[in-house]
Amino acid sequence: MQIDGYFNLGDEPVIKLEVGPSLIEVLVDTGFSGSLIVPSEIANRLDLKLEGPEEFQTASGEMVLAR
Amino acid sequence: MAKVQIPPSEFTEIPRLREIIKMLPEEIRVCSKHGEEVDIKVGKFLPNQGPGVPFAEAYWEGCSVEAIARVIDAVRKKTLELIDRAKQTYREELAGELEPEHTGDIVAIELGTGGYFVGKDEVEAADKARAAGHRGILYFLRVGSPFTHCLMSPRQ
Repeated sequence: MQIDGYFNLGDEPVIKLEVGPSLIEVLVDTGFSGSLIVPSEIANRLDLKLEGPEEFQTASGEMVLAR
Repeated sequence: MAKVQIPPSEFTEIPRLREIIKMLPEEIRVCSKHGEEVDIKVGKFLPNQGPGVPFAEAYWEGCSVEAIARVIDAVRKKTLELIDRAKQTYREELAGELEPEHTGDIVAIELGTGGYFVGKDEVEAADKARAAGHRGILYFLRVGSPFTHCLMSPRQ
């Protein structure tokens, strides 16, 4: 499967993805070890249930707690 | 009664917040002057709106803004304390049990009870916990790693 992407105004590689009823712009992070992260506003719209937090390490080595 | 609005973007967190509030000592939850308990209230349900925010509004309610702020701060601290405890449980009890057989898998630790479930990802681990009747908040850790995921693109 091929998905065409583009660079947004911030020079970030992104694709358009249909998530529920919305078409959203998604940043492609080739170093991300997970699957898909969506903002809480979209999680709300999709009636997603929050299961719990987890920690991410950023490129600078900083640890970020994601809710 | 005083109110502090909860933005719609944080509505998904309300079940977690309520669970943590229940764990707080009474002297924090209940105002010593007026005897009112700080709680989260939700507005009227929005019918036929399809997927989305299920109610018109949500807010903290208490006898004063100060009492609400005290509970919000206590919830934040309690959450971090429970996460630290889960990490400690992993280091002291689970690491030896799960590594190396499950290295790379995800372990979901229930923050209230310390119960744990292993899966190939968060969804599988959470499904196992829910199937076993655990309803509490889960903390996800990757077995054999100090973090669950890495993000390599710069964050803004």
